[in-house]
Amino acid sequence: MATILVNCAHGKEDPERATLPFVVANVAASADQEAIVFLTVEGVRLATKGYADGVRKEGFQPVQEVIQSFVASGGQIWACAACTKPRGIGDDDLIEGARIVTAANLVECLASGATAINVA
Amino acid sequence: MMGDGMMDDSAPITADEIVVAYGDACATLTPRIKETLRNVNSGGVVEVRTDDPSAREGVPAWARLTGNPLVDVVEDDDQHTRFFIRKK
Repeated sequence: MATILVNCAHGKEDPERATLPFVVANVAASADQEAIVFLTVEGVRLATKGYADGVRKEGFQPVQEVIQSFVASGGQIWACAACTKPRGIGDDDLIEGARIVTAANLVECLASGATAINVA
Repeated sequence: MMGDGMMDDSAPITADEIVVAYGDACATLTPRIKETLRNVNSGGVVEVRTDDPSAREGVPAWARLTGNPLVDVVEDDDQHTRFFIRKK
């Protein structure tokens, strides 16, 4: 099993770029790979309760549905601590399957052999 | 058509579950297949019906990755395909 880490740096301001990383990661999770979406910048808001509701790019599944499917398939959502802190986001704000991680967690994951990709 | 990793089986294949995935594309198809496989015992077969031509590339790749053998593929026309996947 490979570990595939997909970065997502966008939220409501760019629904396509908010959705596509979850689409790719969801396919990875459905293929029994360890899949992580690493949220940074405005993307960290996707890890908070209620934020993804109504976020949809025409031609795509609503991002909230993709996130639900991703988590149900065992996917992990990592929110960058350096980005959640200035936005006032804490553990109590997070949706199921999400956690706040530090750069050290990211580096450890990559040093252990994870493949990081940027799709949007 | 026989794709990579497929097992040739001349006996008729009976599906335990059928996924009618018309309208689904790569983003939603394999998650639906995985979800349906959860309802099937090991050795059971899921038939997936799709109208997405790119599934002819994607579903065999998914089968190789997950180790669930693709036991038959029937191309009904240019777009419609039926995949028969046996749960490992």
